[in-house]
Amino acid sequence: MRTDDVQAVGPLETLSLLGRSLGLVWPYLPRVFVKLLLSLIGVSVVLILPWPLKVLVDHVVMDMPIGESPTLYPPYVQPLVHLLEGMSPGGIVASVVAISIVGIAVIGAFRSEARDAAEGELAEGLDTATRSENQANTSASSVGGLVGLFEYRYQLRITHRINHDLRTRLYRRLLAQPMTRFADASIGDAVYRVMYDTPSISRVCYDILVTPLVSLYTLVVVIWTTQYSFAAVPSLVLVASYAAPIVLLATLLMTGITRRRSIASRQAGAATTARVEEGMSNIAAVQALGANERQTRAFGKDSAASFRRFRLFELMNILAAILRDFVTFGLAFYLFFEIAEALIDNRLSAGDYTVVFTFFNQFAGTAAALGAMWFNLQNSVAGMKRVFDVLDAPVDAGAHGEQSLTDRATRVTVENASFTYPGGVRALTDVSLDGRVGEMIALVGPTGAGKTTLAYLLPGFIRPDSGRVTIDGVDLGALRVETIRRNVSFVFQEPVVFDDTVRANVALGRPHAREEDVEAALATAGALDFALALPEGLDTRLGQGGATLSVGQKQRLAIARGLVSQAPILILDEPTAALDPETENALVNALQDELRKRLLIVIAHRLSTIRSADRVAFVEDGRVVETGSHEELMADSDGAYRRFVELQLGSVA
Amino acid sequence: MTDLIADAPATGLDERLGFRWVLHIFLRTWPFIRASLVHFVYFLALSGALALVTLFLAFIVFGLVMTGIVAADPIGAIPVAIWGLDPDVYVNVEQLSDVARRELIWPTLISAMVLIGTAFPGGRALYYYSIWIFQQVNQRMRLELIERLQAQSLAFHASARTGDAIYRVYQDSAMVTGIVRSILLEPLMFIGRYLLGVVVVAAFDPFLALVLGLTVPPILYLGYRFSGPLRRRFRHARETNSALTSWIQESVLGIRVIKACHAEAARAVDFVGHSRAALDAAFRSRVSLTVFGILAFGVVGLAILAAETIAALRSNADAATFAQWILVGYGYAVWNYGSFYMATARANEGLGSIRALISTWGRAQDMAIGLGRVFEILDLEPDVQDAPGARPLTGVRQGVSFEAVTYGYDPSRPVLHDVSFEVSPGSVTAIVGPTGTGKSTLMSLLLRLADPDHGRIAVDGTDLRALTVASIRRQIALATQENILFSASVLDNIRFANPEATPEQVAAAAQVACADAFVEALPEGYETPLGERATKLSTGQRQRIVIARAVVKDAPVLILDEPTAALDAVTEQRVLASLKAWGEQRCVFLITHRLSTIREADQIVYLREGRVLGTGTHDELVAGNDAYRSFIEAELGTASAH
Repeated sequence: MRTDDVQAVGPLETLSLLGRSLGLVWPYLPRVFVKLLLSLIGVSVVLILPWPLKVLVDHVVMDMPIGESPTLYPPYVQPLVHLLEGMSPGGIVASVVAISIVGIAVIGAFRSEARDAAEGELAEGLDTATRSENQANTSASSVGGLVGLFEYRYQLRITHRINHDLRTRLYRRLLAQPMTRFADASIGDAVYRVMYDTPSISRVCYDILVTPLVSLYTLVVVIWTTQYSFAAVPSLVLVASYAAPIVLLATLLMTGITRRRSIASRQAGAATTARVEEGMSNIAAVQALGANERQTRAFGKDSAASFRRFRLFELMNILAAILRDFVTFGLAFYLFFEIAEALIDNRLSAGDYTVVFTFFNQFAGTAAALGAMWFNLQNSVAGMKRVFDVLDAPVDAGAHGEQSLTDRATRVTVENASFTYPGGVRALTDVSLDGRVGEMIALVGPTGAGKTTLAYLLPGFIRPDSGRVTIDGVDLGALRVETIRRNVSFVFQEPVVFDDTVRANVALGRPHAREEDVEAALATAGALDFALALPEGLDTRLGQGGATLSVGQKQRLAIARGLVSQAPILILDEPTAALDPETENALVNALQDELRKRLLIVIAHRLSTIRSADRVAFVEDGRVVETGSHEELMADSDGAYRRFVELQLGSVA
Repeated sequence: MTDLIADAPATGLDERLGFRWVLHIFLRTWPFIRASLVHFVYFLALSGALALVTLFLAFIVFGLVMTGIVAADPIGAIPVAIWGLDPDVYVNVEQLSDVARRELIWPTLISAMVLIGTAFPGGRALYYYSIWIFQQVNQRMRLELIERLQAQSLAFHASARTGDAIYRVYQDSAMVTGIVRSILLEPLMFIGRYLLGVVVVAAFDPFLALVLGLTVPPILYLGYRFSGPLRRRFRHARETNSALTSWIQESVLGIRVIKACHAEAARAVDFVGHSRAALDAAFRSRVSLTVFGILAFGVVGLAILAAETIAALRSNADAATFAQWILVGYGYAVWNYGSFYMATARANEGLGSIRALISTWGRAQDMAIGLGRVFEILDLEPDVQDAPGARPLTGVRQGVSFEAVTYGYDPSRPVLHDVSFEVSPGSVTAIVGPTGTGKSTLMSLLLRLADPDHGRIAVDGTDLRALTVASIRRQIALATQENILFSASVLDNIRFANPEATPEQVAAAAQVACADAFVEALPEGYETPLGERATKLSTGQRQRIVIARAVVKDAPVLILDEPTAALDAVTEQRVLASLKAWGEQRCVFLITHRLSTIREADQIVYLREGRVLGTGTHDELVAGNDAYRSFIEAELGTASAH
């Protein structure tokens, strides 16, 4: 997965990534639309809120009768003003208090400076990974109270659904990656992508579909209100019209640099996760080799680098904010100058002073949000790019066809296959092999000869560069992956055990296997006795990596897993390396009974196992050098196989 | 409210989640904070200074603007003196003239610029400073945590889940910074601001101070009522999220098997369940937090409303302010627009601080949970640690003895029973026996990855428990059957246990392990990078690198735990022969199943079901031990063991 260290995303790529991200949230469009409506309602409330204070200041504090105000109340406030007209200051206060109490309950607000905004952000750590936790729970309302709570809950549900969908999709895709691609993959990085990069999608969704429209709506209402109410002060109208582009431009200036810092910060976070993961997975080796201190130092270095990069990112944000302050306050000072003149000339009232400045703050904030939009989008897109990298990587299924087999497979053939690993190491040259159900074939040869690679060809884990592999005469490339997996079962040399029950581990490939089948498979693999002796028998959970079991026990569970699958072709890659001879002999004997319905291909070193095979394929230097029964091959006094066996026996006899 | 909090899942840990427990956790962070204490003091001092300067400037600026320019009321003597204005025009008059008001515009603008030029950049610089401080604290905790995790014995790692560990280090330890912020810094700053607000509004009108004071009890009640449910939900949210992380990690680790079993679909279904559970828990906890915030605003909102109403009525009546003698200098002697503005702004700020404090308290519940999980790890004393007065092991002269050793990962189910034998330097001891009989466990006791439940292991007559763990591991080299390689170059992998080894020593070790030929054939030789699981190499090649790693450590004790299982007979013979030559004067332990290997050993310890059934040379045992003989016969598949 580390094939694609994140780089800065260009504008064109950003657009295309945004388009694709939108495609992912398309099914939720109606819900997002409802959220947009809720946001517009919330913002409308916020835009009304400056006016009650003007009423209080002008008509109570300054004792000016309603109707003598030098400026006009906008139409959306006039019903309230009509209601209060003719009241004494005490009456006005009482009415405003009554309305305010309702406001607190319903919208959690009654003035611009007494306003709640529903949100559920949690404290974050100071690096990108922990911050994405809040991103995965993006939701907010511009008001509080009952309306704010409703909007918060509604949006949080949408966010969760969108994130869940993408996580699931990414996870499936990860599992569908070809094994060779995963060879060098860092597991920590994959976890990071699923857990911390996917939440970018909800940000992208709201940044495109909600924020711009709400911002535009705010700007339009503010400009229109200014023109309606403060026509007497033309400079106010002028500022309202030009402030947005100026603030927007100032914000845009900083975004390029900030974005690059953000990407660097993410990368450092992934490296730290990978370090912890490696250290923990290999704890026994780390301890036994006395490398604790060194691992800790290395982790400390990674972690410090991750913090440093985050600080740089934060510094850029602060510089951007200072630049924005500078521009905003410049405009505010100009505004102050004009307002003061207008106040002295009695073109504005004392109450208007706060209204104008509240509007201006709202206005500058909205313009800054618009300016930051592109930055935020590019930032979120950096996460999305890492998600799409996985979604776009070729998967197994793409390399296989659509054909199925109607019957159980009976024969597998390798014809002149050659294979070179992506790193350029040639593993197989012109290899041919043929096996039928009812046979047992042993792949024998020195270490590194290519036995495992040859075995990997049969279930299609890897595809030959030249030559072909067929099952019942059909090219593997034309078969559906499901068909291949149903017919070929593979037991790996290094056993993998999941943190699940014994039963679930064995029945992994056949979840609905009957109890008898699971037990029979365990018995054949010589694992039934120890499995039953576990505290809860087959229902015992094994812990991560099956850490409570010995390697031999894990190996036997893995063999049982292969047996229970019922696939007609069963491949065992050195199943017995970790087994003692007694267990192995018992296993080989038990497998003899399986042979009637299976083709058994075993990679083996032990003579007792090799002898019980019907045929031996001797592999050396990536070629099948000799094939035949043990006796036949031993009969050739000059044969490579005979030389190999004599060396092995010679040391025994 | 009761409905909203009733359905929080009970975790059985409820009793532990009391206020005291939270405080305890906060106290536990102290060691991590202490090293940065001086910076916290600087930070608080700077913040306090900035707040006072800002307050003074605000008094000046709003007096000029609201009282002077907007309301045309006389302004205070202090700004007049600062700007060298004529008191007869600005102070000792009924109303300011329009000319006088206009002349105030520039002084006001400049004052405002000073205010803003101080407050904003100062605030942002302090914020950056705080990030730096918090990162130092966070880093300290992460390191402590990872050290603890690595020091835990194998029995701990047998049950712990790796993904969970990552989650803890990453998400939960980050909470330390949050704790310091919310429990130490923010309350100090908020309470400071609140008290400042109380004092200032009391100067305008004591009733305002009363409003501010009355807000505290209901807010405290809310905090008390919500803390427990919030903590339970946050714990549940974190646990489900952590389980999800582990699940993903395990899937990626076991991807080969999942694919080979074609279990992708089933795995994905389970994934959906885990992911849903995590998101649902997050939903419940966050909505609770939101409800808490909304209710807190209800209280604070009413208080703001009350304060504004009082201020508005006073201003309407043109009443005198309470502490005229202080306020007169700034122009707030009577309730006018300037007084109204200043008093309500301060009341708002004071009440806003309470609200911020209580919402910090809500979030702190989550941090407490996060930290609790961190301390669960930090509180684990490593099972294996140095005894007081332990001394280092410097070498092995007389040998190693196992004396009636009994041990089980779960002490009620012993894996080893009463195991006794002795090993002298210059000998090869083969540990032989069926799978799962405790051979590897026996060797992990020698490494002190765990200590025996009964009996003892002694080197030169000294119990291992009287020696330091680090020195024991320095004297033992190990090559295991699970060929663990790290994502580093071949060179660094081989000298993992001995970083000072020169390239020549590494090459010599590779030669002993018969790994030199294939390593040199790699594209970049010893500098070739290996992936996390090193799939570029065959299993046999990886085993030889692991053997070379053990050799390069040059220790007096060498343990080979089935290191040759994946080697073919020819390679194995070469490796063994060269190891034997190298192993003069060392104690070599060999766990193996191969007869060819067993025969080379000077001593065989035959283990079965955790008990020693025989010791001696191969020939002695074949002649005199029936159990051993039948075991050997099975190895060959014939009865011709001799």
